[in-house]
Amino acid sequence: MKHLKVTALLAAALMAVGSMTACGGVNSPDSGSTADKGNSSGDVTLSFLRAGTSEDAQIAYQAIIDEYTKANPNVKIEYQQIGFGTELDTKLNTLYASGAAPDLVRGPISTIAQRASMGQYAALDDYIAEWDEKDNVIQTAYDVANYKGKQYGIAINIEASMLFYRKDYFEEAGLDPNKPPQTWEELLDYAEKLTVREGDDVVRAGFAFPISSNHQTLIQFARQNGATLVDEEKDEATFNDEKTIEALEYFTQYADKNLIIPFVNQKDQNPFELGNAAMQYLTLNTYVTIKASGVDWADQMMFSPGPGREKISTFGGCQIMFMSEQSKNKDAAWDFMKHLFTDDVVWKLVEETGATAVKTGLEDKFNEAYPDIGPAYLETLQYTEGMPKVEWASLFETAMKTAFEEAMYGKKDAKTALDDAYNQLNSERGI
Amino acid sequence: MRSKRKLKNVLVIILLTILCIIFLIPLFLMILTSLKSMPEIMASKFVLFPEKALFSNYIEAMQRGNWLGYFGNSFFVTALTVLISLILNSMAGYGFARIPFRGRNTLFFFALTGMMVPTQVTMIPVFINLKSFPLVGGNDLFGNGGTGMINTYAGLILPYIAGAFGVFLCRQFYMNFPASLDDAAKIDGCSRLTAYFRIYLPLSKPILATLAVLKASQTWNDYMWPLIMINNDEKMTIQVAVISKFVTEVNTQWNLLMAATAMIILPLLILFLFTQKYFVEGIVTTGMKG
Amino acid sequence: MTAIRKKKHSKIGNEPIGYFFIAPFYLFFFFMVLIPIFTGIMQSFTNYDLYQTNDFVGLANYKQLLKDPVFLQAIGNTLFYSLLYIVPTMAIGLLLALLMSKESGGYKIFRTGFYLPYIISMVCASTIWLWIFDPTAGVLNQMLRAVGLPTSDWLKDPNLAMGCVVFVSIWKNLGYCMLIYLSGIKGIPNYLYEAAQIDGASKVKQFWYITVPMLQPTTFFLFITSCISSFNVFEQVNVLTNGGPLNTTTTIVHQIYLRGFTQFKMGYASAMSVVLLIMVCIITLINFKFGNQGTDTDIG
Repeated sequence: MKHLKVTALLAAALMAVGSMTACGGVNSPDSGSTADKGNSSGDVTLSFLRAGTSEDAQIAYQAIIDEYTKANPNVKIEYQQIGFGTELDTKLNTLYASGAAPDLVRGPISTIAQRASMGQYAALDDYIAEWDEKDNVIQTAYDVANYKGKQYGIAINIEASMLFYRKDYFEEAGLDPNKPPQTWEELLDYAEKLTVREGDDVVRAGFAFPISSNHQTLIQFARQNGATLVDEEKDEATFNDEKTIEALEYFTQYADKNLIIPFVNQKDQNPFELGNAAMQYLTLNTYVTIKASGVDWADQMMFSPGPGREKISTFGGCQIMFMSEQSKNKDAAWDFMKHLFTDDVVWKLVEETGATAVKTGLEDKFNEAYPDIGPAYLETLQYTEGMPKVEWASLFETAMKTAFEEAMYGKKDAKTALDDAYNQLNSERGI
Repeated sequence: MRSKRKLKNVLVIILLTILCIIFLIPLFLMILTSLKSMPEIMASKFVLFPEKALFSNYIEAMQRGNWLGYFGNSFFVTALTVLISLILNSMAGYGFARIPFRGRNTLFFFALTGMMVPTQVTMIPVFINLKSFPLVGGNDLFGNGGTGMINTYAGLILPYIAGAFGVFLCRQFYMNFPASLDDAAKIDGCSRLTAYFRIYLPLSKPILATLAVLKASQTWNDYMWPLIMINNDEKMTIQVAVISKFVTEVNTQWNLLMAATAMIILPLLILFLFTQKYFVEGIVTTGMKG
Repeated sequence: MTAIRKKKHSKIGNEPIGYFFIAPFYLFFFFMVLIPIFTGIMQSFTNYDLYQTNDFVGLANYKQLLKDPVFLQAIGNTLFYSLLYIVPTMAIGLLLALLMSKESGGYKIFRTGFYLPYIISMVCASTIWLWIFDPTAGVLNQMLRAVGLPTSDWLKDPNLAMGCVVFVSIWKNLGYCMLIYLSGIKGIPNYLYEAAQIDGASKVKQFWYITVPMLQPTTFFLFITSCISSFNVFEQVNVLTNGGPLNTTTTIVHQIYLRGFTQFKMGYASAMSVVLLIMVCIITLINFKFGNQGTDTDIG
């Protein structure tokens, strides 16, 4: 019996020492010494984690990797992909916490501020400075991946949302499909005309937007109204101002006038896809999906960057290529990243996965390939802004969702909802 | 009297049938969806029955990726987990229930506590422990240098068999046994070991069958742990595969997803049907005399 | 605890062979569960961010918790959920188990039917329920419409959302409850009933004086595991409502996940889990004290 106990204790001690030293290894930058020895033989293994699970992208990326490793036989690339949200957060957190971070991450913009300021993502300025292709990448791709003056990555896909609308529904309501709404007033007016009800139930929305779990709509319209929402320089929230309140009040009119068809972002099939909405902000991805689904109204879709007030602004989710600070093979990782941004590879991703043509030289090619959505899309890209890049982006997102939801359900008026969300956010940040 | 009882039985059966049908509506929906085409699912008007049952969805679903491999992985991991758990848990459950020893209640209380902490909290410490497990996966004696048990079956299985759920279940079962049983064993000169193997284990069929079924469902259906533990397609388990193959950032292929899900349930269903006969086996029928 | 211990020790001796029986399990348990829990408790006194920051902050996290309205709401929601979930599940589970314990073939089909939801993964089950609850195309509203009843926006109505989450949980876990009770019932020696029948005891009396007391360890087990699973409810919430609308369905573990994994406040999240741990420990201790389950049932 004693014997067993002793063995158990010994094992426990060994393990405790093991985990402690391993934790230390995560934190010290020179923990890569053993791997460097491996490098001298010339063989490098890179791990590449992509957020997203679509099969098209998997095939495309795998093909790109195969081609690359064929040309560079000393490099081996382990590719894996993972779903957004819960999955991505959990996986990245465990990998970084345990010191097993992937060398390259293709992740969303929402991860940048936190992970860059924690030191998980590496700054790429020095690499980019020496890159001969650096001037051929569109500016937005750099802007969205810049944090506190440092370039932590390059966007490989910008999911700009733009106003999709149905030509047939417009004509049915006596509206000119070549004149999409330009102002907020027009948008509301059109929405009223386009809404179809059965009794009191809205069965087809004129202008559809999620009322639950939705931060994008408010962000986008507040920005259109000239609100900044977040002062990134001063690192503080500013969304308790008149302009944001006005934007939120604008949306409560849709509830008051019974123009809403309820759905939740990411949870429900969106009404436009189901044919239950005449206008909705959507992305290129949805365009591809609708085209591929073979519905008979696919050719009725029309596109516009949407209305504006002080300016036009649309919300964009951005997929960015990052490199891990923990990476033991940064040079090799950068070399592969450069390969991902060659014109050929970018175009392959455009064609096969519906990604953005982030190289300036590809714009004409893009318009040619997508005559219907192409021009509107490229125009929209200029107006696209992503999530504010602050460490508390997720708190900000929650605040926007809560305020929007509370106002839309009529639980609070716009000002109170925003004030409460603002105070809640600040108290959670400890301000 | 007799006819009254018969009537009661019929009523009970009718009630159960109705309940059961309501209960299974979600599953019918699953099967029906698995037979539809995507435009049919996406259509704005909901239709219950598919116009034409597309059994080809099942074939198409199974052609997405290496399903033989995923099933193999899940089968291996589940079988090993269940087997080891049955041994460890029934032993520990017996120890906690029948043998007096110092610190027994404290140790058991710790085991109970262990069940209560949400995995979200322990996940990262467990992961770090497995990553820095000494002398595995390129690690040195102090757990540095390699990837430890990341991306291995062992890394998947270890946390599963450490769960205290089965111990608790077995303990409660063994506590039901009459104390006279132990006394009789003592008089016969049986040691605790012999008593366990000769008397208790043979009487444990109902509980072991229950534990096997529950543990198998848990392991087979686990999603989060394999998701973070396994890095490549070769070792992927079915739950991770089913989500990553059919739910993408662009769209969800409901028909294939549901077809795959229906296929995934089958092995568990077969296991349940197979173990059912042990549930009906009461203690008396296994030969214990009062 | 101590009271039980004393009773045990005065009655029976100390047999070290017991350690042999529990050792194999405890070895795994120690490394894979106890040490990580200990790490978690230590983290609750730090500002650990899952990466490099890991400084001792004393009780700051706990002080913050008391001022966190969403967390307080989450505790309330979790208790409300537990109440709505545990009692019906156990009561219906016991009832079904009693009916299902008959050995005729027909009941086997029902047994399988009720057990089926338990073997579907939660991710998939939630997806199916999302369709059923869908306000426009959902089966539920379509059926209500067909019979002329008013429809609802089930998961987005602050008054209904929690009820829906509870309902899905009951649906999912009733089979498990039934199964455990079934194996408990099968563990009751038949001669007890035979003897009672000879004594002329009615079925109802047999139920209250034999079945219920004999099932006490099983009930204790189910109560504790149901408490744990309802205190730890996460997946249903995450998939069905994501804590909304208006935080009416957010639960403790959902908050732990949000704080720890999406806001990188692992220290703070650990403090939440310590609170959770204390809550469940109290319930377990109360059960140990009043449940009277520590004694061997002797019948003879």
